[in-house]
Order: sequence, then structure tokens, then C-alpha cells
Amino acid sequence: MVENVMEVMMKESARVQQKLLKGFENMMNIQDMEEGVTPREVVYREDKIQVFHYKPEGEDVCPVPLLIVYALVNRQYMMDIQDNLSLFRKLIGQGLDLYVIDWGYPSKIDKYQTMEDYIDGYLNNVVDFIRETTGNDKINILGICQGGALSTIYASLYPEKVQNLVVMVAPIDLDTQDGLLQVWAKYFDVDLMVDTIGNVPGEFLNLGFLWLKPFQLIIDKYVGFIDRLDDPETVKYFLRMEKWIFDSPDQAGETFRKYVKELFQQNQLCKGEFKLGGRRVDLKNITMPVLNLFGEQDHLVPPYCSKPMAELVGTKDVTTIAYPVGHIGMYVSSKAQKEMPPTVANWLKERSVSGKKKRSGKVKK
Amino acid sequence: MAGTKDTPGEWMAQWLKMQESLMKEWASSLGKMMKSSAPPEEWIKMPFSPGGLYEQWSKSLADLITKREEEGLGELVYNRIARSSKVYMDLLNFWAKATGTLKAVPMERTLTVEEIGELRNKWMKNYRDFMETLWGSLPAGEEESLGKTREGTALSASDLTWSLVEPILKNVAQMPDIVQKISRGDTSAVLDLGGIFSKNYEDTVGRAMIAPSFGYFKQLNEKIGQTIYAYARFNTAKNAFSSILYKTGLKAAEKVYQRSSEFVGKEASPETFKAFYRLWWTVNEETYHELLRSEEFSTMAKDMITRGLLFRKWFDELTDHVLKFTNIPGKKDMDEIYKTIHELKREVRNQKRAIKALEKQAAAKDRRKKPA
Repeated sequence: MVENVMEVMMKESARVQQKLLKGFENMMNIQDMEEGVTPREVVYREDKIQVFHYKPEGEDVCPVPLLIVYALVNRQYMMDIQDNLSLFRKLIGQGLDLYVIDWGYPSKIDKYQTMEDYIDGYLNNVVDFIRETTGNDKINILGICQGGALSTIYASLYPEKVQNLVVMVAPIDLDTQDGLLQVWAKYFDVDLMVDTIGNVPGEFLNLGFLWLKPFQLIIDKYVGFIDRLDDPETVKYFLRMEKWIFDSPDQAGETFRKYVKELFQQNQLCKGEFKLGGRRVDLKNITMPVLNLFGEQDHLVPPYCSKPMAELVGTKDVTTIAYPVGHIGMYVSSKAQKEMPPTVANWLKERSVSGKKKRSGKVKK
Repeated sequence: MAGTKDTPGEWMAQWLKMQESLMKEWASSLGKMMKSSAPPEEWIKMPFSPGGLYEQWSKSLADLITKREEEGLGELVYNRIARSSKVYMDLLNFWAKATGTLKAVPMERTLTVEEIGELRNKWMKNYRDFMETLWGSLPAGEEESLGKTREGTALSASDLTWSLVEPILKNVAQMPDIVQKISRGDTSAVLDLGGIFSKNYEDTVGRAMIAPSFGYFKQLNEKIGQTIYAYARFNTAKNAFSSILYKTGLKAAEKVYQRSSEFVGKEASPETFKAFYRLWWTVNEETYHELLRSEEFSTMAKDMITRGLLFRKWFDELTDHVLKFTNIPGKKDMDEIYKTIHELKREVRNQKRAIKALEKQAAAKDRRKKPA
């Protein structure tokens, strides 16, 4: 028995060492990975933000351009992480004329930047820029994660500029104990943090994300990867994911304060009490068609937070689709990669030509 | 050669050479071990046991990595994997010890209560040793800020704080008892110590720290006092927070121990160990998840973060006060600049919008004026 134990130790030790040696060869000389793989053009810049344009492919091009509004807490290139796993590539392949906002990295000088600056300022300017350059009065918007909440607020305040609203894993109703982030946020003294350190460090937020599943994300993920260290392609994918996961920009203090206090802690958006620049954000103003996509196993934005969109907005043309995946799976899982781009593209095309109303209410799986 | 940066080819060659010699040493020492009359548990402690050898190997790997000139994403992620593999190997080491302990159990008769207790204590002692390495081995460095959870966390307060409170601690009658409890592994005693520490500190030195001062350096002295006071309180909160993490680790250990009977009678094989590893991390995940959802965790995390921020606040106040006598801008000065720039940026944005709107109006007027 004990001889067996020693043998197991020897075998396992040798296996791990051998794999780590292979990993050493495959990883150590990689300095960095690209942020996005699909060809693009920078078409707009303002302060630290920039807008990328991805030209549509094929003949069946959607006449209304689509603007993707990603979260402030992570970077948009997750949706363009590698050739075979790029939602951007697949969306343009479906004939969508794609624009994507890169919010950049706020620094100390941006600590007073407010949510008004982001929504009434940058986002509104970007929308106007696309409207002017493409000659469309209205454009389509796809808001992702926190960007989904920002887009929803925008669509409520500027409905005359939005043809269709698509939201993906968007935290809208935050009065829940389903997710740990929602539980922790209730205890968080955001005023003290912002008053004391200004911008909220990305590392701090990342720590919170890792602690949602500490043993899985801090230990098992890496232990499990040891076996795959000898495959250079898998190693590259893993590096891209690692880069993205830890690439969390600092959050502009004043924006973060309002976001945590009024949306997370007080759930004002859902209650119809949220104000931006002195104006009440009434979700009933969202009269354009809405497509709501979320992950059934999402631990960051649990389904509870995204589902109620249909009851809150002012349109009956709401399509809700739940995918059997988690938060990250919404971007990179094979199911989402295969099904989501044609679903989004077809849904938009149907409503970008005639604007005719379609089915509503039901959750599609 | 220490500290020099070799070319990648050179250090790789050196390293591979070292790998070769380590393997030779391993093979010869393993042969000696197998013939030795030492009990199985002692084998595992020997320097050339698989565990010991892995330890040496991973140290040599870390040394060589630091010699490299290039740094980057690959190295960063590789280090995370290497650190997690260390946790995996430490668990393997623990598993081997635990298997050895269970092997020593006589199968021919029922164990007495004392024997069962002893068995459990031995298992838990080995597990505690493993926890030491676990919490010191988490990947990526960012976890360090959550507090390295150790048995003696309360004793890890800074020298500064310790020297300030030493006279008080000496006079605390309960102290010897509590220290004894901590040394026996009673983690609730860490919390007791934190409470006594905090209370006595606030009653004595702490009070002096925040007491009004007099004279030319009045403000400076008060700010220094407040900063030290805030630092001491932050340390206390941090240690209390760390101790609940450690306590939860022990709770998970108990659960793993309860379920380790699933492995009794099973052949020791890499698959059995992998099953044990899966059990270990999933049980820990569940147990920590319960903690992370609890009010106790949220309250203590909030307290720690608040104390940390208050310390930072007082530190900034102190820095600003000192910088006042220089021509270097302090935090308040910089905040004023940032605010002004922000307001100007907003003003420019509004002006640009206004100009654009006027241009549109003018163009529309021109169009109306032009004859069709």
C-alpha cells in the first residue's frame, strides 16, 4: 500500500513536472496577446474613448448600423478573442455594420467623471457620430453586461435615436440575493471608498470576481490546465482569456459611486426612481423593439437580474432568449458562438427594414 | 553569478542540466528509501521523497524564471499555473501522509474512542501543515491582499503596532491563556485576542494617539497619532477577517475528513488521488461559498475595508500636511486640478454641441433662402 502511495507520488510528480516543462517552452516567450483579431478601423476618438468600425460582409447587409456598448469594468475584446471565437467576426459575417466603443482606461484625472459624462456625453456623441456618418436617424444598440444597463438608460432618455435595443447579460433588476456581488454590494461603503481613493482599482473588482468561486478560479482552473500545457494552440487561447480576465480598468470614482449606490444598492432603475442629469429615467420610454439575451448559469449577473426587462419597458415587442451557459459562456461557448450571431442579426434585420412588430414575452431556449 | 541575467538559451541549458542531475539523485535516493526501515510517514519527510524533490524543483524553477530578461503575459500566467501546481503537489503530499496514517489503523479490531480521536487529530495536524502552504501559495499575488490566513494571524501585526501595545498586553491577565489556546489551534481565541487587543489599545495608547496635542507641532502630532491609530485598527480588523477564512478552512477540513472514509480500502493510484483532489476543492468551494454568502463575512469584510480606507484617509491627511511646507502638490491640490479639468472638459463638450447645433440651424436657414 505504502509502496503504491510512493509510486503514485512519483508518477504524479513526474507528470506535473513534465507538463510544466512543456508549458515553459510554450508560454515563457509570449510577451503579450493581441486585443481583438478582426480587422477594424478607428473612426472616432474623444478623450480616452475610441470607436472601432468593423465593415459588414456579404450581400444581405443590415441598413441600420449596430453600436456595441460594452461594460466599463472589463474590455470589449472578449467578443473578438480569437479567430474561431469572435462574435464580432460572426456578426459582420451576418451583414451587420458594426461599431464598438472602447472605453479606455480611466486614470486619476478622470475621478470626477460621472455617469452623465459617459451616457449624455460620450455615448450620445458616439451615437450622433454614427447617425451623421451613416445617414441614419436611428441606430441599433447592443449593450453588454454593465453596458446593457448603460444602453437601457440611454434608450430611455434618447428613444428618438434608437431603432432597436439588444441587451445581453444586462443587470437591470438588482434587488436580489441570487448573486454574491449583489449580496456584497449591500454592505459596501462606496462613499468612503470613492472619497478616499478616487478611482476604484480594477484589481479590487477582480478580486471580488475571483472570490465568487475561489477554489475553482484560483486553483482548479490552473491545475486542470496543466494537462493541456503541451498544446501550443490551447495555451494561446488560455493566455488570451487570462489577459482579458485580469484586464480590468480602474473605475472612474463618481461613476462607480452612482452605479453602486443608485443601481446596485437602491435598485432605482428598476423602481423607476433613477435620475441622470436631473432627468428621471423611465423605462416605459423604451418603445423600440427589445431583444434580451442572458445566460441561465450566469453567476455574475444571475438570470433574475436580466429577466424582468420585458415587464419594465414600454414596448410589447420584446424577445427574451435564455442560453444554457454562464457569463463568459455567452461570449465564447460553442452554443452561443453558433446560435447568437444569426439570431441577433435576423432579429435586427427584420426590424431594421420595416420595423414591423413581432412576437413578444416568451422566454426562448 | 547570482542576480545576473543570462540569455534564454544559456539558462534553459543550465536548467535542463540540473533537471537531469536531480532525476539521478531522485532515483538513487528513492532506492535507498525503499530499503530503509523508517516508517512510511518518515519517508515522505525525507528530502528526496517525491514531495521534497518537487519542492526543490519548483524552487529552482522559480529562481530561473527570475533570471530571465523578458517579462510578459506568458511568464505571468505560467507563474499562476506553477503556484497552483504547488498547491496540488502539497495536497498530494498530504494525501500520502493521510493514506499512511490510515494504513496504520489496525483492521482486526474496533478502535477505541481515544484511538479514533488520535487518528482525527493526526489527520487534522497534517491538514493544518498543508493549509500553511496553501495560503502562502495562492497564485498571482492578488490574493495576498486578502490576508494570508494563518493560525497566528493576530500575532502578525506590525512591529510598530506590537511595540506600542506590548506594555498593555503584558498586563492583560487573560493573555497567557489565549496565547496557549492559539498555539493549540483554537482559532476562536484569535478573535478573543483581537478583541482584547483592540479594547486595551483604545483604552490606553489609542486614546493618547487621538488626544488633542499642544504647541507648534500640534496638528502634525495629531495627524501622526490618528494615522497610527487607524493603522492599528486596520490590522486588528484584517486579522479578525483572516481568522474567519482560516476557521472556514478548518471547517472544510472536517468535512473532507468525514468523507475520506469513501477512500478506505481503495487502491492508491493517480486516479484515487485525483478523486481526492476533486473532493477536496469542491468541498472547500461549497464551504467557503456558505461563508461568502453569510452576514458575518460581509460585515467583517466591510469592517476591514472601512478600516483600511480610514487608514489611507489619515495617511493622505498626514502627507498633505507635510507637503504643505514644500512646493510639491498634495492630494487636495491635485483633486482641485482634476476637478477643474473635468469641468473644463464638460464645458468644451457642451460648447462643441452648441456650435454644431448652430451650424445645423444656419445650414437649414441657407437652404430655405436659396431659390428652388
